[in-house]
Amino acid sequence: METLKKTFSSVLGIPVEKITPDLSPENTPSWDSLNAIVLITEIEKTFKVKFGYDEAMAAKTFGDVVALVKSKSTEFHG
Amino acid sequence: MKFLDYLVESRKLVTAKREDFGATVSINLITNFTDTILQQALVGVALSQNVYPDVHVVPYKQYHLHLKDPKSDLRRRSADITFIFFDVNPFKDSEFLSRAHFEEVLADIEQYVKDSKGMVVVNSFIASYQSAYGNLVAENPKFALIHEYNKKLDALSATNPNVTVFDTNRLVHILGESNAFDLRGIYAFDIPFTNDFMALMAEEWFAYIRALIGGVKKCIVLDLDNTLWGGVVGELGPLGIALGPDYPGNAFVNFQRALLDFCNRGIILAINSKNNPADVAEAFEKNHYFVLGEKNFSAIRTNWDDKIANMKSIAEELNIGLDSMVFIDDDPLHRAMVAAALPEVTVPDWSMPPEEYTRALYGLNLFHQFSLTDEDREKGRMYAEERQRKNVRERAVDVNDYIASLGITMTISMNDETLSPRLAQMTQKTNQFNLTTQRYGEHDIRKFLADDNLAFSGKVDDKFGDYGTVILAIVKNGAGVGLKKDEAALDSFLMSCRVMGRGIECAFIDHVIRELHAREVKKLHAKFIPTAKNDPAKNFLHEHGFSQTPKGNDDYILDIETYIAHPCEKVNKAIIITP
Repeated sequence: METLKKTFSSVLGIPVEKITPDLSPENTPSWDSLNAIVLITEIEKTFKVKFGYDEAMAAKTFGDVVALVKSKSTEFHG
Repeated sequence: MKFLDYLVESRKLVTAKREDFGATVSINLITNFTDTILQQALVGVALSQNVYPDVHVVPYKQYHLHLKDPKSDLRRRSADITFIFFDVNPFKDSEFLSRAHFEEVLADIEQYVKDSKGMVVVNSFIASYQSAYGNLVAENPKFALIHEYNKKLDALSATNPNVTVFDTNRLVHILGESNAFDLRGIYAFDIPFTNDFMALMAEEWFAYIRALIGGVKKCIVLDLDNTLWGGVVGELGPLGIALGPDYPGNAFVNFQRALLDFCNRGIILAINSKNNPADVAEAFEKNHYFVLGEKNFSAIRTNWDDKIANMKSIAEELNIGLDSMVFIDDDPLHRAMVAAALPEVTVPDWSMPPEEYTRALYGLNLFHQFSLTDEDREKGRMYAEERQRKNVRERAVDVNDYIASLGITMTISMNDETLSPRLAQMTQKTNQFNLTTQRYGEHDIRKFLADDNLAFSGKVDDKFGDYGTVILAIVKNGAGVGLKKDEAALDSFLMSCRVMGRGIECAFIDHVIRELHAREVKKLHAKFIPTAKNDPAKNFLHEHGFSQTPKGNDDYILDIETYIAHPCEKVNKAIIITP
């Protein structure tokens, strides 16, 4: 979880403590379409997982992303 | 640093002030894909290296329009450096598979290059090794086409000195194609590359910027025990250290071989090691597996002094800045101490098994140059000869007698176009004895000559060997720079640090002034633009009869008639000049 928060923090330029399950593009201006791509690719690299395009696009909040990574990765401990 | 680190760094651009950085570089970026992330990586690399990047990006998919339109922002903007990167990959159709499109774009690039004052780095096209033709790689028309394009890019570079081709396949090769291309990115976002590839690409591009602003590294300083060989020579003896045909000794042998290659391309090697000098000398002498000899090192510090003091004294002995040195040491404590005390020195992480040394050394992209000159290839030898000269100097009593005993001769050339690569390189690399620190490309030099200006350069040798072309003066025709017809301006005057302290600059300027006198020039204007590094040149103008003008502190003027009547007394008569 900390690793995932760190990735979000680096990509979106917001402090780790501000990253809550309901963080989303609506309440985070830096979560634009470009940074969304960077988030996907960096998370995939970090957790050695691969998301389908549709499931990645369906993740609308930080909470969604956590759930998605959990469903893909055996290494991930929420 | 990694991709994410660069991304974090790039965000600082919003609040960064360009005057807070060591240098500002204006960059044009031309690609045929979504390049925002690549641009961010480049900005991040530059900011992390104390360079403020002023980047102009061509709007998505409009490169061909902006290249063609003389009124486009791209064409009107004078960038110090332009990066052009067109992606063609094995997995997607591309407009570049049309030869007509390629030829059209190439012609427009050529026009852009000719109009541009800056350097232009063109990425070669990535070879398509995967196709329906499988093992029959050369039968794949796409492969053949790309090969043909790349040859044309090489031809563009050969005929335009401000163009250099970046071999993109080198990068793909290093990472592996599956780590370089991002398949989802190719189809879904038109971002064909992985983040890791883009970070590496940005680092490689920045290495050109480093060369442009005179920031290339010149010297590798090495520890000995567990760096140049395995084990501790003081304990194991000259034959007990790991250096030989078997693992891990063969890893060290080949690391030395790679270092010798660096030396042969003009990077100076030096030693900074805590050891008994006698143990080290014995190892060099008795262990026949050494690839490097003591003769390959331009400065040697084997002692029990601290490594920080040693670094400083090496810099002083070689007359180079600490910021042009790289320190390689397997000991994390010594690395941390040097890095903390001397932040200018580049200290790469070297905690790794010896089999990784050679690749890590190749991976340091700190030594990029636009081209290699004969001087580069000879530099290692020249510095080693300098060590011999110093031995003589320690015996000689009077420094003037010593200089006279060197038998210095200087061959001065004027407007020799064939020297342009070396003259441009000197403007890019010389920081200390440099009056104005103007950086020029080969094409600038050629243009100066075409425009009726004068470029003087001197090739120097003495009884110990040849220094090559080491001193340069660019004199601009007064009429061309808003002065009177019988006046001239000293645009650049610089000298390589390896010949400082020999009175060469006095003899050289004396020759230049006499040549101007013969051409009936009455006054020579000059400038001293102070930088953090050019203190050695501070008093030069004053000492050679120039006086400050009331205009400002940096502006000087010399009355040539007066100089001819009372030439500088410091001119060393022992230097033989052949024009």
